[in-house]
Amino acid sequence: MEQGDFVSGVRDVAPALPPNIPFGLLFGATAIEVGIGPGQATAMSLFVFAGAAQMAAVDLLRADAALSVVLTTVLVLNLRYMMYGASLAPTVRELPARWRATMGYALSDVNYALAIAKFSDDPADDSSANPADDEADDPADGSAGDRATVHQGWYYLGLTVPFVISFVGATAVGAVAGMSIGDGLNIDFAIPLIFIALLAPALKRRGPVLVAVTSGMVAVPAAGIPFNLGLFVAAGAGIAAGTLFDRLRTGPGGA
Amino acid sequence: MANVDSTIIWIAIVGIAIGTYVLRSVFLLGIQRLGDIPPAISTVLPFVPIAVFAALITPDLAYLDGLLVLSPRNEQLMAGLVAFVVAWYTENMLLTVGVGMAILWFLQ
Repeated sequence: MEQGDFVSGVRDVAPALPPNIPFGLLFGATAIEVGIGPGQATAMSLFVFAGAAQMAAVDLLRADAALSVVLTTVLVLNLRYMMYGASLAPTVRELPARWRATMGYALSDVNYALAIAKFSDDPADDSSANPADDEADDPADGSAGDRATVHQGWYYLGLTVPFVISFVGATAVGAVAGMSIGDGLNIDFAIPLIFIALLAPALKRRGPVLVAVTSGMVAVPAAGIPFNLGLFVAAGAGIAAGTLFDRLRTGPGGA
Repeated sequence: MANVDSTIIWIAIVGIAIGTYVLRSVFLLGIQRLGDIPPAISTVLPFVPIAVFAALITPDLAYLDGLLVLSPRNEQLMAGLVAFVVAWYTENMLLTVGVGMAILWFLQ
């Protein structure tokens, strides 16, 4: 049954794997271009497992930013994982601490979204999704009775392990390939392009557009501030503008 | 290319890994009680990646070898603008990076 839960996790995460692979490849290749070793790039994917934040770290390291600036930026970007942990915590309260400690590793957008959907499900309609193709997994306990609750730990591992393997593997492949790509191709230009790919889809409403335009415009003159501290000045200005906009719109006078 | 000191990189990796693990697991492990997230953080949080990415992108595009170049002569800026349009409409990372790189190579 635990194996079955692992397998069903793997099955649920499978559609999310292909888009994850190019990200890993690009991270590996750009890290090499910037002067980070293949072992370091792979270790970073394995132990940090946060593509966008890793990319930001590489971008800052190549600009000789202070270590404290690199760390702060990455952790601020990863604050959302803390929210994921907070949201997941009440659903896994019954699990032993070692399981919950394991779940803290590699908690990210995809496995969070799939896990929270599964764990906050009404247990009654749990296994109704695809009972037909469960041929060999659990022939014995096919009755509704003890399938009502999945083993959350194993299911979560099923979501996470393939995701980690594909991302870390893609990083290693990208890094090795990056070593044979010459400087002439400007592979490191993929770094801002990836940020653009992550940013643009979020800019469909006025609030986020205001945040991005303010932050982006302040960042250009602020780039002269030592140790890349201008990044915080710019991001702070953008966030302040967005917060103010929200307040004016929803404030007491607004509605 | 800039050659970053290998020791600095390892320190950064270890620091980032530990910090990120702590963020992910404080609530899962019950070290921090639920409801303790300051409301200021949860309201501002959606803006954070938007502001940080925007602040990382524009200097990368606007400066050529340390000089501010805001004209069509700046191939990076042109490629970045087209990539932005592609990303906004398609929301496809691979296509965005592919088009951006292709335009940069073409213009150079």
